[in-house]
Amino acid sequence: MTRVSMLYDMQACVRCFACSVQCGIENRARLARDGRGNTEKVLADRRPELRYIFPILRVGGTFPTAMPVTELRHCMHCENAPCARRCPAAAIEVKPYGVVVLHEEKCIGCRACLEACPFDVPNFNAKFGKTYKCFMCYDRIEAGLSPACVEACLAKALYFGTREEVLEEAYRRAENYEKHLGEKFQVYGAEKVSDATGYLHWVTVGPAAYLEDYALRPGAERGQIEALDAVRTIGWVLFGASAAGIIGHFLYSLGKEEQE
Amino acid sequence: MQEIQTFNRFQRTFHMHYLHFMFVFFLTGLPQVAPHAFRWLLYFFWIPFTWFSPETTYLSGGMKVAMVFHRLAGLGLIVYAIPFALREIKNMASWQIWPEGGMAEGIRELLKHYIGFKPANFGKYNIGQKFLAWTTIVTTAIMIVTGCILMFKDAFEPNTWRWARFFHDVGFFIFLVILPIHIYMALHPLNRKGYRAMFETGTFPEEYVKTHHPKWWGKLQRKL
Repeated sequence: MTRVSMLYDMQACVRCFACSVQCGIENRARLARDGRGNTEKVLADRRPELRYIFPILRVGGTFPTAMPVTELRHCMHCENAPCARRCPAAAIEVKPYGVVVLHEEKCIGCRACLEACPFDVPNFNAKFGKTYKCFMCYDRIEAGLSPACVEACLAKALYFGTREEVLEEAYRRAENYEKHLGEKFQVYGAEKVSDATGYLHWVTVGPAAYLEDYALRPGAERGQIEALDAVRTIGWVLFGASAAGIIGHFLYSLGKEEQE
Repeated sequence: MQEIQTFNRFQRTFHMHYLHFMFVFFLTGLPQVAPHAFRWLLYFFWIPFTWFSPETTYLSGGMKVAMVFHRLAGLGLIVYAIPFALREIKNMASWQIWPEGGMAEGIRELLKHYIGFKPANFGKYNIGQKFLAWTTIVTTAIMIVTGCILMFKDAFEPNTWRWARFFHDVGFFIFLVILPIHIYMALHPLNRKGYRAMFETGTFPEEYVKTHHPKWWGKLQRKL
């Protein structure tokens, strides 16, 4: 299977959040499908963590130029997925087609992924002791369908396809907006955004000037995450050096006696 | 032959049990610090646990057991380290790990002993041991503080967890680098008397102190 990607187009989005609603419905349908309660039960339970794509409301800027900003929070499906690298229980799997899947039944609730994620995506539910995040409806993808949120989007602001198709569409849209709006547009995630994450399988098209307001950091660095990766590399190198020194001194010592 | 006390009983038992705690910390911590390389360790924690929880896998069940052991060992170390630290602080005046004679001389004597295989002009501890002692004290403190933050995550912000995880890893790698050297030096034939003092008698023969630790001998003479 070739690599797949999602596209979120900030300009086309009409802020109806049908994607978020549909995501919650789809995940409840999955619970019913997996025999974890009948339809009434799974719909009656309040499970906010089952909406893997959801709006976060905040205000950007300061008075008098302040404006409400709605960030659409969802998993970015990073190329290098720091969460998958850190998960001690191997509950996070990176599919060969690029989707990062958190298997709920393997999760031990240690929250290492929360620490690892530069986008604050994984959502921990203390009641179940499990962490939840978007898996891009990998079951639907494998069955040849689009993810649920894409199906729900009435403005075609969400677009799903192979990576090539999605990047082509993203650049086409960005170019079109630039031409008509006279503003610079960026395709966020098409290229590497940080050392820890690599490129993203969920790319975002938006006006370059506002990307940061929507919590899309052009260099998605987060000091501690990059520093932890660095210390883990340097640490093993130093351990190798110390082991080499020990072996060297041991060989040097062979056959030698202490002189009085 | 007369013997001179080198380590008291509390120091020797604390050292011994710190060794046991370290063993548990490493076995249960490695699958967390390098999951892809050391996950297989979890299998051994999981096997007895399957009897209680047959639906788990070696990854989920084993990791949970490992984390519980890691925390219990941490708790044990903290409980044990407090009286030890208090007693050592009380006896701070007799510590032998303060710098003496300068860096260059310290390294020269170290090379004389370990490369030249000749008795060198050491105090009770050589410069390497002093460095090790201070590093261990500081790193243990870092590990306890950051470990408590990671153990009681709910009381802190994710950004604090990230810094705590970073320094917990820094501490781990400091131990990973210095402990093999410490163990190798302890087992080296040049240091047989040191090994005997720590694990068997707690004492050095007087003659050995005169020849191998002349600076310390001088101090002991002045004290008498």
